[in-house]
Amino acid sequence: MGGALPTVLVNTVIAAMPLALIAVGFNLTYSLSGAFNVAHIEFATFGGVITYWVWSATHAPIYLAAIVAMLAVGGLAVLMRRTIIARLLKIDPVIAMIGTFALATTLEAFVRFCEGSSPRSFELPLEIGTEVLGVRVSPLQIRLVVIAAIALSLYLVMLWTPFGRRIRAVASNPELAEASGLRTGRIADGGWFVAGALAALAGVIIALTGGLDVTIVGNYLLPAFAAAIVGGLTSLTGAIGGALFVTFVEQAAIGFNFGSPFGTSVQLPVSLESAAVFLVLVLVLVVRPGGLFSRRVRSV
Amino acid sequence: MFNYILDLLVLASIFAVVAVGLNLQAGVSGLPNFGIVLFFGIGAYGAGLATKASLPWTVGLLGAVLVATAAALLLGRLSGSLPGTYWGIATLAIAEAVRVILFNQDSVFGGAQGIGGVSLPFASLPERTRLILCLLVMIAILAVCLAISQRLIGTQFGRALRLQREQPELAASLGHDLIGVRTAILIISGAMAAAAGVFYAHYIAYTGTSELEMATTITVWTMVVVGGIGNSYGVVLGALLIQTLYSTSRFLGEALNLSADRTASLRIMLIGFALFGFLMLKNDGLLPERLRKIRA
Repeated sequence: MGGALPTVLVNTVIAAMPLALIAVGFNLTYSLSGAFNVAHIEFATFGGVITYWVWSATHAPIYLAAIVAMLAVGGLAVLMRRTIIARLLKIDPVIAMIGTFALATTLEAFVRFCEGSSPRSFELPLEIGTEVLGVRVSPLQIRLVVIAAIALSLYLVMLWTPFGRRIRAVASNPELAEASGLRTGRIADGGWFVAGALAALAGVIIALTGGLDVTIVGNYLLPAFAAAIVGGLTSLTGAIGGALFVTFVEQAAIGFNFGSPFGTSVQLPVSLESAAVFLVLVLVLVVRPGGLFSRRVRSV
Repeated sequence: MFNYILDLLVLASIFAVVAVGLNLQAGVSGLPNFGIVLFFGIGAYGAGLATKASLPWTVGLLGAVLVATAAALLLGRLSGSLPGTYWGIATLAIAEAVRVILFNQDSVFGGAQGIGGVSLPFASLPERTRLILCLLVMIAILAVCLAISQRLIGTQFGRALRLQREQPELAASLGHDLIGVRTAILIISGAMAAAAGVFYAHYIAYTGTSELEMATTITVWTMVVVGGIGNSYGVVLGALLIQTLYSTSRFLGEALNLSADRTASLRIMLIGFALFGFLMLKNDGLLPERLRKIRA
């Protein structure tokens, strides 16, 4: 356990990646449909589980299994939007949100029913770690951070392609987009596919670093909500900053030596890690309800 | 078998009180609280901490109601700046955060082990008499909450609540203090859920974080949706039906020879399916709200 700032920063980058991949999709689907998809976190669970199923059944390379899982979860997201969420949204956004809540609970219970709560491992070969700014990191962790960073960059680039422009159009004003002749349903499907696939990738990263454990993904629920809210729910890119910020606060709360300026050692107990996230969340909600990076504050 | 039915009815009336509270928020006032379990948990931990400090249960109840009021003030304030579903997410996140903190905090809140040995009500009496007395007490509490709920809906305050649900701008322009009205209903319904939590902890003689998971919130929401969102009597019916489904599904797991883990998952799936079916096919529930003529 180091107490220096570089250590905290390295740990932040490693831990923020899966969180950013999940939170970005939260906000993308929220912007596209106006309903917060509580079941979004289950896309990550399914990403890890499907990768494990494909890998253990066919012994294909893990990256191939991961690609299959991403496509499958993307498809699942589209299916969910079309059959359930779009229908419930026509009734009422709150009803749609209850629906996603029901989906989340049912899907999680389903995975637990199939997989049980005991963790599985991908039996990866052990590798010699290297030291980055005082933190011991395995080559696997470095590869995963690079892959996640590439995926996030591709997502950002995607937002500036013609397809991305359509997504932004539907997100900012669905009626106008529809009236301008855009096929909003198709575009929303595309957005949900991307969100599902990114969350699945996050699930793979979580499973590869910590072992496949259904309960572990549950631990990402609160930080992912916090990252999405801190980044601004209606912002398509803010969640990346939100994830970095939330993880930094988390890592700083447990890793930073608050006594170092005074030449002593003062460390917060580990149990305060989640309390720090909670405080940030409530503070942001009270002071800047539109998110840290928003310019306008939304009201009733 | 008779004891089993009594136990089911006690649990049903405990959750019916929470559901009546949630209905006052989500149904009557249009505040989709996805963290209703927070108030319930405040009650349960009030009972647990009072036990730990060897204080009488009334102190636990009083403390729980005070903390629930503080939480209601915070949530009420947030409802001014966060629109509809956004507020719902915020409540969900706050409730989840509190659960995680309680789960990790060992010295005061007992962490993952929780707090055991919460005093049983009527512990000296034989099991059946004890259960019957518990049921009577709980039905009395439920009746009081129902009466409060029905009275509120009919008053000027109730009309203000429904007006700010359907037409917040109009309500504000008519001089209603939106945040004040919402905070008031959050305090009343939060106190109901907290009282249910206090009784629950005493009834099962234990306080822990397992009841604070999202699954509990979804169960209460299912009771409200199945019974009829906006209708207090419907919500009580929903609580009875869903608690029956949940309690009896234990036997399904035994019949199918499933492990405890899998049975638990199966029971949650059944609740999810019930909620889902009603949302897709009959989203105004078995006993729909009668007052509501305009569909939002």
